[in-house]
Amino acid sequence: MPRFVLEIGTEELPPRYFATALPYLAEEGRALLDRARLWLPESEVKVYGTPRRLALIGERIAASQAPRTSRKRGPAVKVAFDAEGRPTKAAEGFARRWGLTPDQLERGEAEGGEYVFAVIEEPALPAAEALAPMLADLITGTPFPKTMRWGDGSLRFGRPIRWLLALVDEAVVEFSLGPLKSGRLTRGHPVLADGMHEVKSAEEYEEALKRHYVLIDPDERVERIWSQLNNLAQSHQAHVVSAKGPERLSVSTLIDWPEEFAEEIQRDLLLETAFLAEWATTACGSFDERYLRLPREVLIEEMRHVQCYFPLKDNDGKLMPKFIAVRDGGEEHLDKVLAGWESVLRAKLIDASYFYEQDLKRPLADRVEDLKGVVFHEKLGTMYEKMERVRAVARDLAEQVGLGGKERELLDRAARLCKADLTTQMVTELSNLQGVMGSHYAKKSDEPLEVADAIAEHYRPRGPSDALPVAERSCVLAVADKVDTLVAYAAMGILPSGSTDPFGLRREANGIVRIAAESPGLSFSLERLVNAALQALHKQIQLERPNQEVLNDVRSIIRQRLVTYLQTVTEDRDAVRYDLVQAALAVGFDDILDAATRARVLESNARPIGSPQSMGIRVPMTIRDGVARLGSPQHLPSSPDFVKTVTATTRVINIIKGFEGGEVDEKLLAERGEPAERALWKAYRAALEKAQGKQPEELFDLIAGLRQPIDRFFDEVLVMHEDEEIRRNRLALCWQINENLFRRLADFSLIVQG
Amino acid sequence: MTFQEIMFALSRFWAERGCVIEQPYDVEVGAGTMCPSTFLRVLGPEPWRVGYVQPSRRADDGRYGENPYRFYRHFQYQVILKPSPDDVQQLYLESLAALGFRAEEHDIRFMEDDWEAPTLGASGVGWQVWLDGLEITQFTYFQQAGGIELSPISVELTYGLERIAMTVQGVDHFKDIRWGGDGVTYGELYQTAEAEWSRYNYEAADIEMVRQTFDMCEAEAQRLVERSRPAGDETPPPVLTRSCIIPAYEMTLKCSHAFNILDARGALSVRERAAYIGRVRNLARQVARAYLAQREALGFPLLRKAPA
Repeated sequence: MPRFVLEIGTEELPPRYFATALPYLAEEGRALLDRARLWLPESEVKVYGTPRRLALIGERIAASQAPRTSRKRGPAVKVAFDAEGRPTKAAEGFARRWGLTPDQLERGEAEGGEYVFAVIEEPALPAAEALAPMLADLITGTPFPKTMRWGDGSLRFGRPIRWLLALVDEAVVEFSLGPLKSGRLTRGHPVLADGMHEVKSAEEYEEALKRHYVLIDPDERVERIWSQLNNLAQSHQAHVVSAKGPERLSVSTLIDWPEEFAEEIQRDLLLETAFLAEWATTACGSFDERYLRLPREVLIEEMRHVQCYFPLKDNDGKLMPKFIAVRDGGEEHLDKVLAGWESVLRAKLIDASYFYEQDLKRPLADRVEDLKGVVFHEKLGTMYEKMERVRAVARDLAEQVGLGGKERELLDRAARLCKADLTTQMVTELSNLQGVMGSHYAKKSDEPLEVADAIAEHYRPRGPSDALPVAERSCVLAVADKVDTLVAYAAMGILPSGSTDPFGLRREANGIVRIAAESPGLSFSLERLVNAALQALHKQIQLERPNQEVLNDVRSIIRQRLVTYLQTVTEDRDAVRYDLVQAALAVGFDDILDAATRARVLESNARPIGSPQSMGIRVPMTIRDGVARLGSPQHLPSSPDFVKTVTATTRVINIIKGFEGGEVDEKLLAERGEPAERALWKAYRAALEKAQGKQPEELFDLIAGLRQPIDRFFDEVLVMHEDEEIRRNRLALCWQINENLFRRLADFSLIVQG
Repeated sequence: MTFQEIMFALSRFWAERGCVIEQPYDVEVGAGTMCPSTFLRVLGPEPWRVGYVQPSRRADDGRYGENPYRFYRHFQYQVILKPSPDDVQQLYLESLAALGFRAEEHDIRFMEDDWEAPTLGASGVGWQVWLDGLEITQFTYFQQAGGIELSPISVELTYGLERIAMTVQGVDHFKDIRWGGDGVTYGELYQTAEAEWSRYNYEAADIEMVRQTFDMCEAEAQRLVERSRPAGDETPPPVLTRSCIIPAYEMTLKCSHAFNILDARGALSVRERAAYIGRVRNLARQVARAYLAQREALGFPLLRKAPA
C-alpha cells in the first residue's frame, strides 16, 4: 500500500513549539488526505519531530484518487436553448468552459426550475499529483507560539525552512514553497552525518534517517535517554529520579504522567532534552563538593533549568556533587564535551556563590525599602506598594479567620518581608527561586522560622497539583497576595478572557479556590476579602472602575474556577457532577469552603453505593497543553435514595413557583390544617431546630428525613385549596421549608433527576 | 590562541565571505547592535555584510573586576548578513572551526532565545548558541528595527569574545585571558578600568550631570532629526541637503548610555524608568524613518553592488 512522507526541514525549533505543531500536522494531515480523496478505511497518520524537522506520514493511503463525478449547474434551459431547441451562445460558452460540446449537457431540476448541467468525470490523479497542490498551504498553516521571517522575508514559520522532502513511495510529490522546491533529499545529523542524503522511497524514510544518526520518533529518543540515564546513574551509585520509574517511557506516557509526580520523574527535562537532540548521548560529570553548601534549590535550578543537566541523588535522596547531561551527538570526544559541561557549571556555581555571599551581607529586612525600585505593574506601582496592600489585606483576613495575636504578628512580619528577596542578586538571576530564597535569607537573618516558612509558601500553589501552604498564617498570606493581584488587575479592567491571560490571573484565582476549599477552618467571606483589597488599593491610587463592578468581576472569575475545581478529579478527590455544582453554588459561594463542602455532600449522597469514581474533567497538563485533552464529564445515574429525596424537594419547589413568600399562620394551621399538613410543619420545625449550626453533611440527612412527611403532605393535602387563606398558608409552609432548610444546602430545582 | 588572534581569525573568516570589516564605533554603546552599521543598515532593501569588534558598555553589569564573568565593558564580535543566507548556520559553524572548535569534538546547540531592545524599538527571533553548555553567541534573525518591519531579513551573529577566549585558553577568570603582545593579559590591560568604572557607575557619577546630559542630548537629537523633515514640497528633499541623521543617532546613543548609568545607580523611579525608555525609543524611531527616507532619496546605492 502506498506511503506518503512529508518532511519539513528547519533550523532548530524550540521544544515548546512541538506542542502546537505536531497535533496540527496530525489533524490537518488526515483532513488533507481525506480532501485529496486518498484516505482509506485502513489509512493512518503519524507525526514525528526533531529539532531540525517535522514529519507527516500517511500510511496505507490510496494509490490514486477515488473517482468522482460532479455536476456543474449552467444556465436555465430556456436560456440555453432557443425556440427551435438549438443551443444558444450561453449554452455553448458553458459547455466549452467544462470541455464539453452542447449536446453533452444534461438537463435537470434545481431551485424549482430546469437547468442544464455539465457532468464531469473528475480525473483520478495518482496520489503524488493529487497531493502536490495542497502541501504548501498545509505547511504555512502550522501554528507556533511565535512565527518569524528570514532571507527575503516572504515566508513565515516557527524557524527558517531549509529543505522539503515529499514522497509517495518512490515518487517525489513536486511542489514549491517560496524559493524552496520539494525533493527526495533529507539532512543527516549535522555532526555525525552532515549533508543531504537521498531517500529512495517513503518506505525506507525512518531507516534512512537512522542510518544518518537521526531518530525521527520522539518516543525512541525518550527511550534512549531514559535507559542511558538510569544505567549511567546506577554505575555511579546514584539516582536520577526519586520515584521508581517505569521500564519503558514514551512521550505520551510522560505527558500523561500525573502532575504531582512530574518532579520525581524529571518529566519536563526529559521531554525537553528529547526535543533538543536528534541523536542523544549522555555522560556523567561532577562538581566540587564545597558547592553543596549552597541551598539545594539553587543547585537544582542551576543544573536543571539553566543548563538542562539532570541532578543526581544518593540513596537517601541527598544531592550528590554529580550530574548527567545530554549531548546531541555520539560517543566521540565525549570527554572533551564533559570537561566543557563541568567548567560551565563551575562558572555558574562560582557566580551563584558570589551572589549568595553578597546577598547575605544585608539582613533581608533591610531590602524592603529597595522594593520601591521594583515594578509590579506600570499602572499599579511598585512591589513596595503591593507589599503594603498585601499587609493590609492579610490583616483583615486574619481577623476574619480569627487568627490569634501572636500569629498575627508573625503574619505581618512575613507579609512585610515576603517580596524582599526580589532585590537579591540570586533572585534577579534565577527568578524561579523567589520565595525560596526569601525564606532561606530570612532564616539567615534570624527571623522566626514561622516567618521564613510563610515567605516560602506564599507563592503556593504554583500549579494545579502543587502543594498548598501548610500553616494557617501561610494560607492567609498566600490568599492575601493572590487576591491583591487579582483585584488590582481587575480594577484596571485587565481580566482573563478566552485563551488570553497574560498576567496569569486564572492561576491566582485557582490558588485562592484551592487554599479556601482545602484548608479546614479557613472560612471567610469573599466579598469582605475583595473589599479589603479594594480599600488598600484606594489608599494608593485613584480607581476608574466602581467597586461593585470589580467585585462582580472577581466573583465571576472565582466562581468559574470553583466550578472547574469541583469537577476535577485528583488522586484524593472525586469530581462533583456538573448539575450538583450548579445547585450548590446557586445559593451562594461567598464562603468558598462552605460552598465546596455543600457540593461534595450532594455528590457523595448522589453516588450509588459501590459505584466507581465518577468521571470528571482530567487535570490538564501545564506543559504540552496542545496534546493533553479534557475528558468529558460523564453522567452517572444517582442512587435511588438520592433520587427520592430530590423528587420530594422538587414537589415542594414546583408548587411555590410564582409564590412571593411569607410566614405560616400557626393559628390557622392549628384550627383548619389537615393532619398531614400539621405533621409536615412539626417535622419541619424539628428539623430546623436541629439544623442550627450543623455541617452540610448533617443538613442533607435532615432534608432527607423530611421526605416521608413531604410525600404524605402532597398525597393527602390539596395545596391549591379554593379558600385563599388556606391556600396561602400551605404555600407559605412549602416556601419556608425551601427557603430555610433546602436552600441552606443547595437549589434543589437545578439537580437533574434520574 | 590569544584574545587578539581570536579577533583576527573572525575578521579574516568573515572578510573572506564578503564582509566589510569595520572598526569599533566610537560612541558608548551597550551592544554592537546599536552601532549604525547594524541598527541603520538593516533597514531597507540594500544588501549588507559587515563584521566588527565592538566594546560594549553595560553600567549595570560591572563587578569591580572581581567577578570572573561579569564586565562593565566587554568585547563583542558583531556580524550582520543581509539578507540572511540559506546556509548561515553552516557558515557560523565554520567560523567556530576557524577558532579551533570543530563540531565533532563538541556539543553545539541552538537554544531558543528571542531578543528585544525596547529602547530601539527592535526585536528578533533566534537562539543563544551553546558550546558544551556555554553560551558563546547570540544568533538572531532581526524582524523589526526602529519600529519598522524589516524586509529582507538580516541575521546577526554576536560572539562573546571573553567567553570564547576563556574556553579556548582554559582560564577561569577574565583577568587571566592572554591578550597578545609579549604575554600581556586582559587583566593587566583593563582590570583597573573595570574597578574604576564600577566605582563611577555605582558610587561616583554625578547623577545631576548625567540627567542633564540626557536632556541636552535628547534636545539636540530632536532638533537634528527635525532638520531633515520636508517643509512643503521641497526638492531636493531635505534628507539630502540639510540632514544630520548620523549625528542625531549619536545623540540618541548618548541618551541611551546616560539612561543606563541612571538605571545602574537606581536613580530612576519605576515610572521615570518607563518614561526614559520611551523617550529613547521615540528618538530611535524618528532616526530610523529619516535614515530610510534618505537612502530611498539616494536610490538605495548599495542595491547596485548586489550580485546578479
